[in-house]
Amino acid sequence: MKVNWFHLMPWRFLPPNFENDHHSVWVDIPTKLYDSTRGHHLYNEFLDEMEFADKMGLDGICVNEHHANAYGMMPSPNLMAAAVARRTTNANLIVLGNSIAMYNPPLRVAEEFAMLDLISGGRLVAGFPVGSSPDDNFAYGFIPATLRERYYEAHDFIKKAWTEEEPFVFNGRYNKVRYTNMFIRPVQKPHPPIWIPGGGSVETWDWTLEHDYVYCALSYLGYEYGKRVGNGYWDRAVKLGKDLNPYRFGYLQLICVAETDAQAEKDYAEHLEYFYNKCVHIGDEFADAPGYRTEATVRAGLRGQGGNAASMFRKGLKWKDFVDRSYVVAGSPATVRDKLTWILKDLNVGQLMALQQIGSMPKHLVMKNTELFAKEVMPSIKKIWAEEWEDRWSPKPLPLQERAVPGQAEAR
Amino acid sequence: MSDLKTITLRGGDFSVKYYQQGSGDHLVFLHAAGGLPAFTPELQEFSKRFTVTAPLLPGFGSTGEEHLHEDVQKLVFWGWDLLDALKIERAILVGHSFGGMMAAEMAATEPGRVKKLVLVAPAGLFLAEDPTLDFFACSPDKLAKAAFHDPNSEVAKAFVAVPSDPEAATEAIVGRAKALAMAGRFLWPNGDRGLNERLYRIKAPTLILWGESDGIVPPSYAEAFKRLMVGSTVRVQKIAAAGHVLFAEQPQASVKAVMDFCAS
Repeated sequence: MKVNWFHLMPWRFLPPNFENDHHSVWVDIPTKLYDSTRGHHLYNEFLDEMEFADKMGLDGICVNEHHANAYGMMPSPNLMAAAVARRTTNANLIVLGNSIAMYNPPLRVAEEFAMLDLISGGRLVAGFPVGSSPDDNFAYGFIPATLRERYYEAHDFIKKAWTEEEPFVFNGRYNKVRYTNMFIRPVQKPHPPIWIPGGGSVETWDWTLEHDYVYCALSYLGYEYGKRVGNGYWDRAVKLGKDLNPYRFGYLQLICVAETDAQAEKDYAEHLEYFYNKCVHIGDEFADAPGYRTEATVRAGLRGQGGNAASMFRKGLKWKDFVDRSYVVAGSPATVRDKLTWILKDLNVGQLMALQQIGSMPKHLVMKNTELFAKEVMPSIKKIWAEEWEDRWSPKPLPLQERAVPGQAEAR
Repeated sequence: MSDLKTITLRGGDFSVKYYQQGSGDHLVFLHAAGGLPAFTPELQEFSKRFTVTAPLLPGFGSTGEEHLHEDVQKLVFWGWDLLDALKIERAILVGHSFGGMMAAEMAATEPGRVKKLVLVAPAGLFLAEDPTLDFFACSPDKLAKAAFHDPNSEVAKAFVAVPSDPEAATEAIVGRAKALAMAGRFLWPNGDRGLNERLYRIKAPTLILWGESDGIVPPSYAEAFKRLMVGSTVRVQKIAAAGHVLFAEQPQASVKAVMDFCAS
């Protein structure tokens, strides 16, 4: 098992009555709720936390892209990955990812990912999400019905730019470049591993499997949602004749570890409630723009996790509900170890993404949560699958002795 | 009751369903983003005087919307290709809302083939000082409030009603999503795809008809259209006690306005 550490970078200071006074945490949230001095400290706090996760031996640090969003304050995850690249040595930089449909030309993403791979000595995972409806359609204005074809074109363009050795003409429907020439080449050959974070679109499963990429189920609804997506994904893998190598499948899980089960509730309950009541308080109108999902997916009944329809059934939920429904795996190290092991085996997950800074959780609790997890839970989790399956989808960095040391770097 | 006919365009890329009824000069009706559920009463009225052709646009019962991508020119060519295939050389174009934008685009592209133009609360412009409603991000209730002068009327209630049969309800939801997805190809995110720079090309005498209580595209847009249509004679007429769906809400006054203009 690869154990990675995910940061959403939420605004920790939403007012107590936010979910009643405001329509949505995303798209139309009033900017007056933001404070730039606090924002300065908060970004640096989050960077400290990610660096701490590296020190604690996590396999990777995950960042992602959102816009006009108070629970995910990374319009450019590449900047965050660049910031931690120089102050970490071991952890992979898992950028999940860049919404490639929106960048014209998407060469910018090919270049920035190459830069991250170069700075980090080959530790990059390149994540290519189709992009969410609130981000891409509402906050960035892209037409829902054509987002997917823009996405496929951008993907083909980026891959070609990474692998072609001569300058070439790219003549796509949405991108036309006479001289495509990636002079800087990523460390990893032929290119960094590609992971696809998905929201449960039927066609993305097939596409991901056909390209032999990792599919990542990123949800805040834990096992319940993971099971639905996992079942659909692995069914397609069987139908397409792929092996069931768990390292093909990434899964995000909220995790809270304390000394005892009771202490976990004491430490983390209010931050979980903040997360589920405020951070994912998303206007229903923004969850799923018409045309964003294909007809097949609409029919399959897989809806996005946002929206009031989703928040309705979470309304009034408390710590016990979050734990019972496995939205969060929480408790003593033994409790977390047992439950997490069961879930990861049941869902056939090989790439765990642990979300341990949750909602309003302050730094000292994030550190505690991460340290207890890393020391008491992670060692046994990492053993899962290690003997049975090969991870063909994680970065292959330069050997440590060949890598630049920040502060002492010199090219020869 | 008129039946749907089918014709294919562009080697089968598009299969078009359309109604055709009546006799006399050609009148082509282009429906709104709500679709065309039947050969509606207003079309029945038009067909007493004209040969009415009313296609279902791609995504609204006709197929091939994926071939249009998000290209306004492709949408316009779809319209003219259809009229070519139906051997309609010249016609009165009547378009409502999304269909109004399309009719205006078609008339700007082939000004000589449009005898008269009727734009009923057309989409296609955006004025920052008086923005259109973001109807893509509206609950059905909010949409009904904006679309009707009287949201509590029977027609308004019928507009938002979801069938009680679960299978029919699913089809209704999928159908609505497909229709809005198609409209979104040309109206996302704010409806402005450059029509303001093409309206000058229209030559046909034009009636712009608007419901005074339109909460989706404000009635002030009628004057904006008129101001930009420097190549044609434009008459603006507002209908009292009507919102965006004016044929449903004030059928008599709306139909009379169109008939008076087209038959004159």
